[in-house]
Order: sequence, then structure tokens, then C-alpha cells
Amino acid sequence: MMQTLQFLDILIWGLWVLLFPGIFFITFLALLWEWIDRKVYARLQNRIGPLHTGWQGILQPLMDFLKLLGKEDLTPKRADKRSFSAVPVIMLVLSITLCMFIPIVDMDPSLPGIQGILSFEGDLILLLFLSSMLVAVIMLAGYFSSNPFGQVGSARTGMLLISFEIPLIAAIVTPAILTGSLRISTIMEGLKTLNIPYALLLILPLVIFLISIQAELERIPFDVSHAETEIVHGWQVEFSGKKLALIHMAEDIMLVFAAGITTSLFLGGPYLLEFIPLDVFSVTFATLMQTSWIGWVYYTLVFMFKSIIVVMILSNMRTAFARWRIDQIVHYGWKFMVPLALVNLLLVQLAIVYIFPILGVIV
Amino acid sequence: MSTGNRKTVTPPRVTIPIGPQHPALKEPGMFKLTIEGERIVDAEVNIGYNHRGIEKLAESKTHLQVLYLAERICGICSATHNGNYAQAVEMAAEVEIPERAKFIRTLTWELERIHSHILWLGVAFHEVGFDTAFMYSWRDREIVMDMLEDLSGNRVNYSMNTIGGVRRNVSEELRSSLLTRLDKLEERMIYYRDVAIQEKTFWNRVDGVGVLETSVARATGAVGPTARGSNVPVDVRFNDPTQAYVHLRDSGEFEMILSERCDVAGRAIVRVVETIESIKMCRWLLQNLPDGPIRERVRPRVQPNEVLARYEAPRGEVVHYLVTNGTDKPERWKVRAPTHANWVSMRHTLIGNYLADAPIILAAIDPCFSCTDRVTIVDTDDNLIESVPLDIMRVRANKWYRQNGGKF
Repeated sequence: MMQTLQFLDILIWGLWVLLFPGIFFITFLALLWEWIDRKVYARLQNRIGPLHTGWQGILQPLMDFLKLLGKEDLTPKRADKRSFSAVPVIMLVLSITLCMFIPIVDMDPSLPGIQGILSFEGDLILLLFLSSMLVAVIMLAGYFSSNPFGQVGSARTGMLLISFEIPLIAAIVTPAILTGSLRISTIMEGLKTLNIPYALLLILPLVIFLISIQAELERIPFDVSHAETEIVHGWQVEFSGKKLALIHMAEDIMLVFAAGITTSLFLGGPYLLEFIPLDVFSVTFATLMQTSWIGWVYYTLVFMFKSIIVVMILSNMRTAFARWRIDQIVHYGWKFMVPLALVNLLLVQLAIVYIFPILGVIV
Repeated sequence: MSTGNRKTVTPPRVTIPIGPQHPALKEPGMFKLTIEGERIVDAEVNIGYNHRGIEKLAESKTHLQVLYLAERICGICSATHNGNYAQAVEMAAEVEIPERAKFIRTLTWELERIHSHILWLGVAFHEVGFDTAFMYSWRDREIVMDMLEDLSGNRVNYSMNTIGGVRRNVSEELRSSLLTRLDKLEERMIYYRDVAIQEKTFWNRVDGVGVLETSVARATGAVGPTARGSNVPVDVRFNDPTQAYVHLRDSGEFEMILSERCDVAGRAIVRVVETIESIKMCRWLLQNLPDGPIRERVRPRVQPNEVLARYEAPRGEVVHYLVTNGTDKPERWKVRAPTHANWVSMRHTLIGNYLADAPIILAAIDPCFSCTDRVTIVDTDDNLIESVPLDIMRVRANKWYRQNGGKF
């Protein structure tokens, strides 16, 4: 009896990891976000964007992925072959792992609130570590390919990393300070009950975070590391076929992660109607969603809705600017973003410790 | 530790090839950049991948046929070569073409300048990663493309000119329709001028980049917007006008656009402001279009003569040197495209800049490779194609001239 229960448990967990909030769902979101990103980007540029595959070209990212999988896969002679082939796989694995931390639906009913597939005290730190590691893998990818363009691209990725990792971390830490936890699901629960003055403190870090995550994702204006007109896609230049398909997929999944983590840490996670201060919504509706299967659909839809807003903001940023030069990025990063992030931390501390108690605002 | 023992660490030198095939280049060309970190320390410009032997081919064709061949030298400035060749033959035949033909020819040229400059602006936006402005400017370029189509029947390779005049007339409806569309175009161009100047991310990428000092620009013989962006007042339209440019200059309403900035931003501003000036010129030409015939008949056989026809193409001064020999075919025809004059200063502008700025610096002279490349050796006797270095070719040329007594 015990044996079968354990077996069933493992089966259900496997299904979760593989299917719903896990790999399949994340991949689905990745392709959908890419379509939204491309479509919004195109419409803002007065173009049509993907149109022919599926409704309004919604299947175009999938078709691109499948077609790339079938293309010839070349490895340069001078490349370090084993490491070169490992890069796309590691990138994909890391990005999927990152997405496992995003709380979408209630994975552990014994705990209050919503958890990701992976959730433990201090997972925020692991998350930051993994996202930095992803950038490190990108840097190595360029050097493994032994291509001058790749090497220049790698060097630029490194410079981008040292400039924007600090503001990113400083911004992400703010919600943790406000709620007193390093666990994403707890932070999210804490944000739900936050007073309005406290919630206002999240606006500045949100802006910093969105700018830094754009740099982390290497999108315009921070796409120096694969600027096509300068260094022909930089570190990606030697990757082709399956490897490139996996890299593109990993990048799309990183977009899901970026939008998801913004939703979870700054926009209140997959709660929407619960914020309406009426008993019907904040108590009855919330309990219903927490206890029944409708919650799974509702939370997923709200999560997607909020993520789409973030993706659209990121696409807008991509449209509005020209590409910065790497020295301008480093300059801007260290002279503006890093001080701003530190000032923000200072401000939050001052507000929590001195200003809010004087004003009589409590958590 | 004493200062004598201090080691200076310099990043390793990497040679990065830009070209012959590269996304930043719309046509094949080769630029070997030696970089230290992100700084360009040396640059080597190597062109000649796009040779088609047009000048040699022209010697076996009649003047009228060469007109259509000349237009194929370049896809963007096709009216330039077409019109300038027609002008050269008319000079050699010593005929004066009707006033209306002159105005229509100039109008085609100016419309072409507008389309070429907007195209350049879009490319420049694209090179610095500002794809939105690239898409927008190319969308509005369609206005002038449609105008050219209504005027000449073609979007590119207008075939507007013939020896002795132009081939199509401008009707009254077309005139008014062109005038309304010019207003729209002017409004859009003023908007792009403001975008180029006020959008900080774009401006930071061109401000102080690729500096070409006035003295260097003069010494290396830069032409066109490249020279005018470095405050060198060279513009054939004002210095040595032909066709209706004489009237344009005499009207006193137009002036040469110059910039004292000497960098890529200067070249960009010169081009954008020049486009607005061009739109005004087009309007003036349409409003003052004289009546009369559009074509003068010219005998197909042109008397022996040697002429140099100059015209300010969108990229700079284009020179057609034509020798006629009394038959209906040219004896020798030499085209000096503006890009050829602008290559000389390229190395100077590249050195010391960032690698990231190389594409925009290359694009800033608006290079046109197929205009420029016109030297290769094809031995028709045994179908041998060989590429010959310049110095060996010079030796051979000297030998050949010694043997043949300096005759062409």
C-alpha cells in the first residue's frame, strides 16, 4: 500500500514537472511570449509581424524552432567541441530550472499561498546565482567557438554583466526587505497584505529591475553582445541548427522567467480580484480559489495576463531606443543605475525604520 | 615597486574582418580592423569585389545604349549616371537642350537625392540598432518612390533621360499631385530631423564618432555630404552648376548645407537638412517649370571631342569623362563615382574609434561599391580571370603606354 502511494506521488510530481507548471507549460509560454513580443515589436514599427502560420502567425515561433532543429548542425574546426555542444543544453536546463521557481499554482497545499515547483527558504539567492551562471555560460560560449566575433561578443556580455547585475540584485532584494523573507512564495504572500505606502516603495525598484532585466536578456538597447550589424550576433555566430534552436528556446524561456519573476516579486503574483477590498472578493473568492480546482485555471490566467503586460513593456523598450555602445552602457550602468539602486535600498531602509513609524504607518 | 618595473597590460590585438560578406554591408567589400579590446588601432580598406567591366562594355555600344547601361552602374543613384552621361554626350555634341527638359532632368535628380538620403537615414538608424526609425523612414521613403514612379514610370532605374532631353513630360495633374506629396514629405523629414537630433540613444552613437577634420577632408579629397559634414564647401550644384541648377542658384533661395561638426552626426545632419532643401528645390522647379519641348534631336554620330561632365550625386561629385571619336560609340568613358573619392579618408576616420562604431562610420560615407569597383582583368583569349594587385597593374600599364605611345 505504502509502495503504491509513493509510486503515485512520484508519477503525479513527474507530471507536474513535465506538463503543467513544468517544462511543457513553460515552453508553451516561451513560444507564446515570443509571438507577442514579435507582434508588438512589429506593430510598433508599423510592420505586420508574423502572419501566416496559425491565427495571426501565432505558431510562427514554433515553426521557426522546428525548422531550425532540422537545419544542418556545424561545429567549427577550431572550437572546443565538447564544451561547444554543451552550451545550448546547459543554457536550456538553467533557464528551465529558473522557471521552476516561479509560483504559478499552488504546488504544496499544506503551506499557505502559492508555491513554485521548487520552493524553499532562500531560493531567491539560488535564483540570482543561477541567472548569473547563465550569463557566465554565454560568456564561455563565445570563447569556446574560437571566433573573433564570438570573443568580442563574450567580452561585451561580461561587461554587461558587471554593470547590470548589481542594480538587478539590489532591486530584487527590495521586496525581500519589505516582507522579511528570502523565499519567493513568502514574499509574494507578504506583498498581498502590504499597506499602500509600502507598496509604493516598490515602484522605483520595479523600474530599475525592468531596465536591468532588459540588459540581462540582451535586448535593445542592451543588445551589444549580439549586435548583428557590428559583430554578427556575437557569441551566437558559430551556433547553427539544433544548437541555435536550443539557444533561441533558452532565450525565450528567459523571457518567461523575466516576466514571471517581475509578476511574482513586484506585481503581486497570480492574484487579481483578491485585491478588491470587499469581503466577497478578498475572503470568499480567495478561499474558493485556494481550495478548488478553479483556482488552478484562475491563477494561471492571471499570471499570464500580468506576464503579458511585462512582456509588452519590455517590447516597448526594445522599440523606443537605439543600441548603446558598450562603453556607454558601462558608463550609464555605474554612474546612474548602481547609485540609483543603492539609493533605493537606502530609501527603503529609511522608510521602514524611521519614516513610516513616525507617520504611524505599519505593515 | 618602482615605476620602471610597472607592466602595462594591453588587451591582445585581434583582427576582425568586416566583409566581404557582412550584415552591415549591403554590398561586398572588405575591411580588416585590428582591434585592442574595443578600440580600432588599424584599419585596412580593401574593395574590388563588385567589378562588372561596364566601362569596357560601353565602348562596344552606341551612346543611346550606353545611357541604359550607365544607369545600371548603381541601383540607388541610377538617374545620376544616366543623366550625367546624357549631359556628357550633349556637351560633346555641343547641343543645348530645351529649358523644360533641363528642369525635368533636374527634378528627377533632386527626387532621387531625396530618396537616396532617406534610404541612407534608414540604414544609419539600422546600423546603430534603431530599427523602429529605420522602418518608419523607409515607409515614408515610399512617398518619394511613388512620386518617381509617377514621373518616370519606374521605381528604380528611371530611364528618364535621353540624349538631347528627357523622355516623359510632366502633365498638369502630375505637377499638382507631386506638389501635394512634397508637402507631406517635408513634414515627415522635419520629424526625422528632430528624431535624429533629439533621440539621445541615437545621438550618443553618432556624436563625436568618426571624426574627419576639415584639413584631412580637404587633403584626402572627400566629396559630397562627407566633405560638407566636415565644413568643406564642395557642391557641384553651387560651385559649377549645370542644367536647371543654374536657375536654382540664381534664384538665391537655396544654400549649400554645411556642418562644422566633422563627425558622423555632422554628416547625418547635412544629409537630413539637405533633403529638406531638396524638397524645396523640387517645389521651386515644379512651380517654375517652363513650357516648351522636352527633347532636342541629336545626331547619333558625335564629333570627336573630349568632355568632363560633373554632377553632384547624392553621395558627392560624380565625374564622367568621355572621349568621342566621330562614330556613334564612345572611344573611352571613365566614371569616377563619389564613393571612390571618399574611401581615401576611411582609414583615418576608423582608427581610434570603437569597434561598435565601425558600421556607422563605414555607412556614414554612404558607400556604393558597385559604383566604385571598375577594375579587373579578364583575358578573353584563354578565358583567364586574374585579380592583379595595384602595383603590378601600374607597372603593366606603364609598359603598355610606353609601347603604344600614350594613345588610348
